Amino acid sequence: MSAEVHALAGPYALNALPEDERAFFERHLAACEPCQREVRELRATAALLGDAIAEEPPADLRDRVLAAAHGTRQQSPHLPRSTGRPGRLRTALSAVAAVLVVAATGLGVVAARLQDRVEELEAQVQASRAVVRVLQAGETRSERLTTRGAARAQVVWSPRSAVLVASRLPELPGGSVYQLWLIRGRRPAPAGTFRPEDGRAIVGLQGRPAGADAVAMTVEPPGGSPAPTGDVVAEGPLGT
Amino acid sequence: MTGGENRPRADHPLRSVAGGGPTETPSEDELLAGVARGEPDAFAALYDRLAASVYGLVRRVVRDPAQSEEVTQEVLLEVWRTAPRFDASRGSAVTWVMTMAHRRAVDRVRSEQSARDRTERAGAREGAAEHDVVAEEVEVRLEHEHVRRALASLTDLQREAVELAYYGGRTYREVAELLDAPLGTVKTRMRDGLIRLRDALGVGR
Ligand SMILES: [Zn+2]
Repeated sequence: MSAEVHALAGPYALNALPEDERAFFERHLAACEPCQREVRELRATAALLGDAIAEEPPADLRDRVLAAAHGTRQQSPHLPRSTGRPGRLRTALSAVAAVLVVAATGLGVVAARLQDRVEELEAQVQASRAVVRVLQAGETRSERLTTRGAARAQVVWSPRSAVLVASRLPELPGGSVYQLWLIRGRRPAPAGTFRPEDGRAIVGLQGRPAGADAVAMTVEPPGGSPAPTGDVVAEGPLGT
Repeated sequence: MTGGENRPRADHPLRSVAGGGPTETPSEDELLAGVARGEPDAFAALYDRLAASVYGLVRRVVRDPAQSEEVTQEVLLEVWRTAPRFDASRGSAVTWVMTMAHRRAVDRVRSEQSARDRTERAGAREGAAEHDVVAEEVEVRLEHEHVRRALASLTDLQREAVELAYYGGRTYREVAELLDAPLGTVKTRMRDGLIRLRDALGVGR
Protein backbone atom coordinates (compact mmCIF):
# COMPACT_ATOMS: atom_id res chain seq x y z
CA MET A 1 0.00 0.00 0.00
CA SER A 2 1.26 3.47 -0.74
CA ALA A 3 1.62 5.99 2.08
CA GLU A 4 -1.23 7.97 0.56
CA VAL A 5 -3.76 5.36 1.65
CA HIS A 6 -2.78 5.71 5.30
CA ALA A 7 -3.32 9.47 5.07
CA LEU A 8 -7.01 8.78 4.59
CA ALA A 9 -7.22 7.86 8.28
CA GLY A 10 -7.54 11.62 9.01
CA PRO A 11 -10.51 12.42 6.80
CA TYR A 12 -12.00 9.03 7.67
CA ALA A 13 -12.01 9.80 11.39
CA LEU A 14 -13.76 13.09 10.55
CA ASN A 15 -16.36 11.36 8.33
CA ALA A 16 -15.02 13.54 5.54
CA LEU A 17 -14.53 10.87 2.88
CA PRO A 18 -17.00 10.63 0.01
CA GLU A 19 -18.82 7.27 -0.02
CA ASP A 20 -16.62 5.55 -2.62
CA GLU A 21 -13.38 6.51 -0.91
CA ARG A 22 -14.82 5.54 2.43
CA ALA A 23 -15.51 2.03 1.15
CA PHE A 24 -12.03 1.92 -0.36
CA PHE A 25 -10.38 2.95 2.89
CA GLU A 26 -12.45 0.52 4.95
CA ARG A 27 -11.13 -2.35 2.84
CA HIS A 28 -7.61 -1.14 3.56
CA LEU A 29 -8.43 -0.62 7.23
CA ALA A 30 -9.58 -4.20 7.66
CA ALA A 31 -6.03 -5.36 6.95
CA CYS A 32 -3.88 -2.50 8.29
CA GLU A 33 -3.19 -2.65 12.00
CA PRO A 34 -1.42 0.75 12.25
CA CYS A 35 -4.39 2.45 10.57
CA GLN A 36 -6.80 0.69 12.93
CA ARG A 37 -4.92 2.05 15.92
CA GLU A 38 -4.68 5.50 14.42
CA VAL A 39 -8.39 5.60 13.57
CA ARG A 40 -9.24 4.62 17.15
CA GLU A 41 -7.11 7.46 18.51
CA LEU A 42 -8.25 10.05 15.99
CA ARG A 43 -11.89 9.19 16.57
CA ALA A 44 -11.39 9.57 20.30
CA THR A 45 -9.80 12.96 19.53
CA ALA A 46 -12.69 14.01 17.29
CA ALA A 47 -15.15 12.93 20.00
CA LEU A 48 -13.52 15.49 22.32
CA LEU A 49 -14.12 18.20 19.71
CA GLY A 50 -17.79 17.20 19.68
CA ASP A 51 -18.05 16.99 23.43
CA ALA A 52 -16.66 20.50 23.75
CA ILE A 53 -19.74 22.06 22.14
CA ALA A 54 -22.31 20.21 24.26
CA GLU A 55 -25.75 21.79 24.41
CA GLU A 56 -28.75 20.71 26.47
CA PRO A 57 -31.46 19.18 24.28
CA PRO A 58 -35.13 20.09 24.81
CA ALA A 59 -36.25 18.63 28.13
CA ASP A 60 -39.04 16.47 26.70
CA LEU A 61 -36.60 14.57 24.49
CA ARG A 62 -35.57 12.43 27.44
CA ASP A 63 -39.00 10.89 27.98
CA ARG A 64 -39.45 10.30 24.28
CA VAL A 65 -36.10 8.55 23.90
CA LEU A 66 -36.60 6.38 26.97
CA ALA A 67 -40.12 5.45 25.89
CA ALA A 68 -38.94 4.62 22.38
CA ALA A 69 -36.16 2.45 23.79
CA HIS A 70 -38.71 0.65 25.91
CA GLY A 71 -40.52 -0.41 22.73
CA THR A 72 -37.39 -1.26 20.75
CA ARG A 73 -35.89 -4.70 20.71
CA GLN A 74 -32.14 -4.87 21.10
CA GLN A 75 -29.83 -6.70 18.75
CA SER A 76 -28.55 -10.02 19.88
CA PRO A 77 -24.82 -10.05 20.71
CA HIS A 78 -22.83 -10.50 17.54
CA LEU A 79 -21.14 -13.61 16.29
CA PRO A 80 -17.37 -13.73 16.71
CA ARG A 81 -15.84 -11.59 14.05
CA SER A 82 -12.11 -12.05 14.30
CA THR A 83 -12.00 -15.44 12.59
CA GLY A 84 -11.90 -15.74 8.84
CA ARG A 85 -15.15 -17.59 8.48
CA PRO A 86 -17.75 -14.97 9.35
CA GLY A 87 -16.10 -12.60 6.88
CA ARG A 88 -16.49 -15.06 4.07
CA LEU A 89 -19.98 -15.87 5.22
CA ARG A 90 -20.86 -12.20 5.28
CA THR A 91 -19.53 -11.76 1.78
CA ALA A 92 -21.46 -14.76 0.56
CA LEU A 93 -24.65 -13.62 2.22
CA SER A 94 -24.13 -10.15 0.89
CA ALA A 95 -23.90 -11.57 -2.60
CA VAL A 96 -26.98 -13.69 -2.04
CA ALA A 97 -28.91 -10.72 -0.74
CA ALA A 98 -27.87 -8.62 -3.71
CA VAL A 99 -28.94 -11.33 -6.14
CA LEU A 100 -32.25 -11.74 -4.36
CA VAL A 101 -32.87 -8.01 -4.57
CA VAL A 102 -32.15 -8.11 -8.28
CA ALA A 103 -34.41 -11.13 -8.70
CA ALA A 104 -37.25 -9.57 -6.76
CA THR A 105 -36.85 -6.19 -8.43
CA GLY A 106 -36.84 -7.88 -11.79
CA LEU A 107 -40.26 -9.19 -10.89
CA GLY A 108 -41.43 -5.67 -10.34
CA VAL A 109 -41.64 -6.07 -6.61
CA VAL A 110 -40.30 -3.67 -4.09
CA ALA A 111 -37.66 -5.71 -2.33
CA ALA A 112 -36.78 -5.31 1.30
CA ARG A 113 -33.58 -3.34 1.79
CA LEU A 114 -31.67 -6.55 2.09
CA GLN A 115 -28.27 -5.17 1.37
CA ASP A 116 -28.54 -2.98 4.45
CA ARG A 117 -29.43 -5.95 6.54
CA VAL A 118 -26.51 -8.18 5.75
CA GLU A 119 -25.36 -7.94 9.32
CA GLU A 120 -28.59 -9.49 10.52
CA LEU A 121 -28.26 -12.20 7.92
CA GLU A 122 -25.17 -13.64 9.56
CA ALA A 123 -27.42 -15.47 12.00
CA GLN A 124 -29.55 -16.87 9.21
CA VAL A 125 -27.38 -19.33 7.40
CA GLN A 126 -30.26 -21.76 7.09
CA ALA A 127 -32.40 -19.20 5.38
CA SER A 128 -29.65 -18.31 2.97
CA ARG A 129 -29.45 -21.93 1.85
CA ALA A 130 -33.15 -21.80 1.07
CA VAL A 131 -32.60 -18.55 -0.81
CA VAL A 132 -29.87 -20.16 -2.84
CA ARG A 133 -32.12 -23.13 -3.64
CA VAL A 134 -34.86 -20.78 -4.83
CA LEU A 135 -32.44 -18.81 -6.96
CA GLN A 136 -30.84 -21.90 -8.45
CA ALA A 137 -34.25 -23.02 -9.58
CA GLY A 138 -34.15 -20.23 -12.16
CA GLU A 139 -37.87 -19.65 -12.53
CA THR A 140 -38.70 -17.56 -9.52
CA ARG A 141 -41.84 -15.61 -8.83
CA SER A 142 -42.67 -13.21 -6.09
CA GLU A 143 -45.80 -12.13 -4.30
CA ARG A 144 -46.35 -9.40 -1.75
CA LEU A 145 -48.56 -10.74 1.02
CA THR A 146 -51.51 -8.96 2.55
CA THR A 147 -50.51 -8.18 6.13
CA ARG A 148 -51.97 -6.83 9.31
CA GLY A 149 -50.67 -3.56 10.68
CA ALA A 150 -47.32 -2.20 9.57
CA ALA A 151 -45.80 -5.61 8.82
CA ARG A 152 -44.42 -6.25 5.36
CA ALA A 153 -44.02 -9.69 3.88
CA GLN A 154 -43.19 -11.08 0.52
CA VAL A 155 -42.67 -14.61 -0.74
CA VAL A 156 -40.16 -15.48 -3.45
CA TRP A 157 -40.62 -18.99 -4.80
CA SER A 158 -39.85 -21.53 -7.44
CA PRO A 159 -41.82 -24.79 -7.82
CA ARG A 160 -39.37 -26.54 -5.50
CA SER A 161 -38.68 -24.03 -2.80
CA ALA A 162 -39.97 -20.79 -1.25
CA VAL A 163 -38.56 -18.01 0.92
CA LEU A 164 -40.38 -15.50 3.07
CA VAL A 165 -38.86 -12.03 3.41
CA ALA A 166 -40.56 -10.01 6.13
CA SER A 167 -39.97 -6.81 8.05
CA ARG A 168 -41.65 -4.69 10.72
CA LEU A 169 -43.05 -7.80 12.35
CA PRO A 170 -44.44 -7.13 15.83
CA GLU A 171 -42.49 -8.66 18.67
CA LEU A 172 -44.13 -11.75 20.12
CA PRO A 173 -44.79 -12.34 23.81
CA GLY A 174 -43.14 -15.24 25.64
CA GLY A 175 -41.97 -18.03 23.41
CA SER A 176 -44.69 -17.51 20.82
CA VAL A 177 -43.63 -17.97 17.22
CA TYR A 178 -44.70 -17.05 13.76
CA GLN A 179 -45.74 -20.13 11.81
CA LEU A 180 -45.94 -20.46 8.04
CA TRP A 181 -48.51 -22.53 6.17
CA LEU A 182 -48.72 -23.77 2.61
CA ILE A 183 -52.37 -24.14 1.70
CA ARG A 184 -53.59 -26.69 -0.82
CA GLY A 185 -57.31 -26.57 -1.42
CA ARG A 186 -58.47 -25.72 2.06
CA ARG A 187 -55.83 -27.73 3.89
CA PRO A 188 -52.98 -25.80 5.53
CA ALA A 189 -49.74 -27.77 5.85
CA PRO A 190 -47.16 -26.54 8.41
CA ALA A 191 -44.21 -24.88 6.63
CA GLY A 192 -42.01 -23.92 9.56
CA THR A 193 -41.82 -21.55 12.51
CA PHE A 194 -39.52 -18.63 13.27
CA ARG A 195 -38.93 -15.65 15.52
CA PRO A 196 -37.93 -12.42 13.80
CA GLU A 197 -34.72 -10.55 14.55
CA ASP A 198 -35.38 -6.84 15.03
CA GLY A 199 -38.74 -7.34 13.35
CA ARG A 200 -37.15 -8.85 10.28
CA ALA A 201 -36.88 -12.38 8.94
CA ILE A 202 -35.75 -14.30 5.90
CA VAL A 203 -37.02 -17.83 6.22
CA GLY A 204 -37.02 -20.82 3.91
CA LEU A 205 -40.40 -22.52 3.87
CA GLN A 206 -40.49 -26.22 4.61
CA GLY A 207 -42.17 -28.27 1.92
CA ARG A 208 -42.54 -27.73 -1.80
CA PRO A 209 -44.68 -24.86 -3.01
CA ALA A 210 -45.71 -26.76 -6.16
CA GLY A 211 -49.45 -27.34 -6.04
CA ALA A 212 -50.06 -24.91 -3.18
CA ASP A 213 -52.67 -22.23 -3.75
CA ALA A 214 -51.72 -19.86 -0.98
CA VAL A 215 -49.33 -19.11 1.82
CA ALA A 216 -50.32 -17.84 5.25
CA MET A 217 -48.63 -16.85 8.49
CA THR A 218 -50.12 -17.10 11.96
CA VAL A 219 -49.01 -16.52 15.54
CA GLU A 220 -48.74 -19.81 17.41
CA PRO A 221 -47.68 -20.98 20.86
CA PRO A 222 -44.04 -22.00 21.47
CA GLY A 223 -42.97 -24.76 19.09
CA GLY A 224 -45.79 -24.16 16.65
CA SER A 225 -49.05 -26.04 16.02
CA PRO A 226 -50.11 -28.94 13.77
CA ALA A 227 -52.95 -26.76 12.44
CA PRO A 228 -53.42 -22.96 12.64
CA THR A 229 -54.87 -21.73 15.93
CA GLY A 230 -53.76 -18.10 16.11
CA ASP A 231 -54.40 -14.86 14.26
CA VAL A 232 -53.50 -14.74 10.58
CA VAL A 233 -50.96 -11.93 10.24
CA ALA A 234 -50.09 -12.37 6.55
CA GLU A 235 -51.54 -14.24 3.58
CA GLY A 236 -51.44 -14.30 -0.17
CA PRO A 237 -51.97 -16.48 -3.24
CA LEU A 238 -49.09 -18.54 -4.63
CA GLY A 239 -50.50 -19.44 -8.01
CA THR A 240 -47.79 -21.87 -9.09
CA MET B 1 -7.13 1.32 24.98
CA THR B 2 -9.88 3.72 25.75
CA GLY B 3 -8.10 7.00 25.36
CA GLY B 4 -7.96 10.27 27.19
CA GLU B 5 -11.68 10.99 27.18
CA ASN B 6 -12.00 8.94 30.33
CA ARG B 7 -9.56 10.95 32.36
CA PRO B 8 -10.89 13.12 35.19
CA ARG B 9 -12.56 16.22 33.91
CA ALA B 10 -13.28 18.82 36.52
CA ASP B 11 -14.81 21.09 33.92
CA HIS B 12 -17.72 18.77 33.20
CA PRO B 13 -19.92 18.33 36.27
CA LEU B 14 -21.79 15.34 34.85
CA ARG B 15 -18.73 13.44 33.86
CA SER B 16 -17.64 10.62 36.07
CA VAL B 17 -14.21 10.49 37.60
CA ALA B 18 -12.04 7.71 36.26
CA GLY B 19 -10.86 4.98 38.57
CA GLY B 20 -13.93 5.05 40.74
CA GLY B 21 -14.69 2.00 42.86
CA PRO B 22 -18.10 0.43 43.23
CA THR B 23 -19.38 3.31 45.36
CA GLU B 24 -18.38 5.88 42.74
CA THR B 25 -20.54 7.01 39.86
CA PRO B 26 -20.29 4.39 37.12
CA SER B 27 -18.30 5.28 34.01
CA GLU B 28 -19.90 5.59 30.58
CA ASP B 29 -18.30 2.27 29.68
CA GLU B 30 -19.91 0.60 32.69
CA LEU B 31 -23.25 2.18 31.90
CA LEU B 32 -23.05 0.99 28.31
CA ALA B 33 -22.36 -2.54 29.57
CA GLY B 34 -25.61 -2.25 31.54
CA VAL B 35 -27.42 -1.02 28.44
CA ALA B 36 -26.06 -4.04 26.57
CA ARG B 37 -27.73 -6.23 29.20
CA GLY B 38 -31.02 -4.45 28.49
CA GLU B 39 -31.15 -2.40 31.71
CA PRO B 40 -33.43 0.65 31.31
CA ASP B 41 -31.87 2.43 34.31
CA ALA B 42 -28.42 2.19 32.78
CA PHE B 43 -29.81 3.63 29.56
CA ALA B 44 -31.45 6.54 31.40
CA ALA B 45 -28.18 7.25 33.21
CA LEU B 46 -26.23 7.09 29.96
CA TYR B 47 -28.74 9.48 28.41
CA ASP B 48 -28.14 11.97 31.21
CA ARG B 49 -24.42 11.65 30.68
CA LEU B 50 -24.28 11.94 26.88
CA ALA B 51 -27.46 13.54 25.49
CA ALA B 52 -26.08 17.09 25.67
CA SER B 53 -22.84 16.09 23.94
CA VAL B 54 -24.74 14.30 21.19
CA TYR B 55 -27.27 17.09 20.73
CA GLY B 56 -24.64 19.82 20.70
CA LEU B 57 -22.62 18.11 17.99
CA VAL B 58 -25.66 17.17 15.89
CA ARG B 59 -27.04 20.67 16.21
CA ARG B 60 -23.76 22.16 15.03
CA VAL B 61 -23.68 19.99 11.91
CA VAL B 62 -27.40 19.78 11.09
CA ARG B 63 -28.34 23.27 12.36
CA ASP B 64 -32.14 22.96 12.11
CA PRO B 65 -33.36 22.38 15.70
CA ALA B 66 -36.25 20.04 14.86
CA GLN B 67 -34.07 17.88 12.63
CA SER B 68 -31.29 17.91 15.19
CA GLU B 69 -33.70 16.59 17.77
CA GLU B 70 -34.79 13.85 15.37
CA VAL B 71 -31.21 12.82 14.64
CA THR B 72 -30.33 12.90 18.34
CA GLN B 73 -33.24 10.59 19.08
CA GLU B 74 -32.19 8.25 16.27
CA VAL B 75 -28.63 8.12 17.57
CA LEU B 76 -29.60 7.41 21.16
CA LEU B 77 -32.07 4.72 20.10
CA GLU B 78 -29.36 3.19 17.97
CA VAL B 79 -27.16 3.13 21.06
CA TRP B 80 -29.86 1.21 22.89
CA ARG B 81 -30.48 -1.14 19.99
CA THR B 82 -26.90 -2.00 19.11
CA ALA B 83 -25.27 -1.83 22.55
CA PRO B 84 -25.14 -5.66 22.78
CA ARG B 85 -22.75 -5.61 19.82
CA PHE B 86 -20.52 -2.83 21.12
CA ASP B 87 -16.92 -3.98 21.01
CA ALA B 88 -14.96 -2.35 23.85
CA SER B 89 -11.64 -3.36 22.29
CA ARG B 90 -12.30 -0.84 19.50
CA GLY B 91 -12.69 2.24 21.67
CA SER B 92 -14.56 3.81 24.55
CA ALA B 93 -18.31 4.15 24.93
CA VAL B 94 -18.13 7.93 24.59
CA THR B 95 -16.12 7.72 21.37
CA TRP B 96 -18.51 5.13 19.99
CA VAL B 97 -21.57 7.25 20.68
CA MET B 98 -20.01 10.48 19.42
CA THR B 99 -18.71 8.79 16.26
CA MET B 100 -22.20 7.49 15.57
CA ALA B 101 -23.71 10.92 16.28
CA HIS B 102 -21.34 12.62 13.87
CA ARG B 103 -21.91 10.05 11.16
CA ARG B 104 -25.69 10.35 11.43
CA ALA B 105 -25.55 14.13 11.43
CA VAL B 106 -23.33 14.15 8.38
CA ASP B 107 -25.55 11.61 6.61
CA ARG B 108 -28.53 13.82 7.29
CA VAL B 109 -27.04 16.98 5.83
CA ARG B 110 -25.50 15.20 2.85
CA SER B 111 -28.72 13.40 1.93
CA GLU B 112 -30.60 16.67 2.10
CA GLN B 113 -28.33 18.76 -0.02
CA SER B 114 -28.85 18.22 -3.71
CA ALA B 115 -25.76 18.44 -5.86
CA ARG B 116 -27.04 21.74 -7.21
CA ASP B 117 -27.54 23.14 -3.77
CA ARG B 118 -24.05 22.11 -2.75
CA THR B 119 -22.44 23.65 -5.81
CA GLU B 120 -24.40 26.83 -5.23
CA ARG B 121 -23.34 27.02 -1.64
CA ALA B 122 -19.73 26.32 -2.45
CA GLY B 123 -19.77 28.91 -5.21
CA ALA B 124 -21.74 31.59 -3.45
CA ARG B 125 -19.61 31.83 -0.37
CA GLU B 126 -15.92 32.23 -0.22
CA GLY B 127 -14.32 29.34 1.59
CA ALA B 128 -12.49 31.55 4.01
CA ALA B 129 -15.73 33.35 4.80
CA GLU B 130 -17.53 30.09 5.49
CA HIS B 131 -14.73 28.97 7.71
CA ASP B 132 -14.86 32.23 9.64
CA VAL B 133 -18.55 31.65 10.32
CA VAL B 134 -17.95 28.07 11.43
CA ALA B 135 -15.01 29.06 13.58
CA GLU B 136 -16.82 31.97 15.18
CA GLU B 137 -19.84 29.92 16.12
CA VAL B 138 -17.72 27.11 17.44
CA GLU B 139 -15.51 29.51 19.36
CA VAL B 140 -18.50 30.94 21.17
CA ARG B 141 -19.68 27.51 22.18
CA LEU B 142 -16.40 25.85 23.01
CA GLU B 143 -16.80 25.21 26.70
CA HIS B 144 -13.61 23.36 27.19
CA GLU B 145 -10.63 25.58 27.56
CA HIS B 146 -8.19 22.76 26.86
CA VAL B 147 -9.89 21.98 23.53
CA ARG B 148 -9.86 25.66 22.62
CA ARG B 149 -6.16 25.85 23.39
CA ALA B 150 -5.42 22.66 21.47
CA LEU B 151 -7.21 23.99 18.40
CA ALA B 152 -5.31 27.26 18.68
CA SER B 153 -2.04 25.33 18.54
CA LEU B 154 -2.75 24.09 14.98
CA THR B 155 -1.60 25.82 11.83
CA ASP B 156 -4.34 27.82 10.10
CA LEU B 157 -4.80 25.26 7.37
CA GLN B 158 -4.90 22.34 9.82
CA ARG B 159 -7.47 24.08 11.98
CA GLU B 160 -9.63 25.20 9.07
CA ALA B 161 -9.58 21.76 7.49
CA VAL B 162 -10.47 19.97 10.74
CA GLU B 163 -13.20 22.44 11.71
CA LEU B 164 -14.87 22.56 8.30
CA ALA B 165 -14.92 18.78 8.14
CA TYR B 166 -15.96 18.03 11.70
CA TYR B 167 -18.15 20.96 12.70
CA GLY B 168 -19.22 21.84 9.15
CA GLY B 169 -19.88 18.26 8.00
CA ARG B 170 -17.93 18.82 4.76
CA THR B 171 -16.07 16.19 2.76
CA TYR B 172 -12.36 16.77 2.25
CA ARG B 173 -13.09 17.49 -1.42
CA GLU B 174 -15.47 20.27 -0.44
CA VAL B 175 -12.99 21.55 2.09
CA ALA B 176 -10.30 21.67 -0.59
CA GLU B 177 -12.61 23.67 -2.82
CA LEU B 178 -13.66 26.02 -0.04
CA LEU B 179 -10.09 26.69 1.02
CA ASP B 180 -8.74 26.64 -2.51
CA ALA B 181 -6.10 24.11 -1.48
CA PRO B 182 -4.89 20.93 -3.23
CA LEU B 183 -6.78 17.72 -2.33
CA GLY B 184 -3.69 15.88 -1.14
CA THR B 185 -2.70 18.76 1.11
CA VAL B 186 -6.12 18.93 2.71
CA LYS B 187 -6.16 15.17 3.40
CA THR B 188 -2.76 15.41 4.99
CA ARG B 189 -3.60 18.52 7.04
CA MET B 190 -6.69 16.77 8.42
CA ARG B 191 -4.57 13.90 9.53
CA ASP B 192 -1.63 15.78 10.98
CA GLY B 193 -4.01 18.32 12.53
CA LEU B 194 -5.87 15.54 14.32
CA ILE B 195 -2.61 13.94 15.39
CA ARG B 196 -1.45 17.23 16.89
CA LEU B 197 -4.79 17.59 18.69
CA ARG B 198 -4.51 14.03 19.92
CA ASP B 199 -1.14 14.75 21.48
CA ALA B 200 -2.20 18.12 22.90
CA LEU B 201 -5.30 16.59 24.49
CA GLY B 202 -3.42 13.57 25.78
CA VAL B 203 -5.58 10.98 24.05
CA GLY B 204 -4.07 7.63 24.99
CA ARG B 205 -2.06 5.48 22.67
ZN1 LIG C 1 -2.92 1.79 6.72
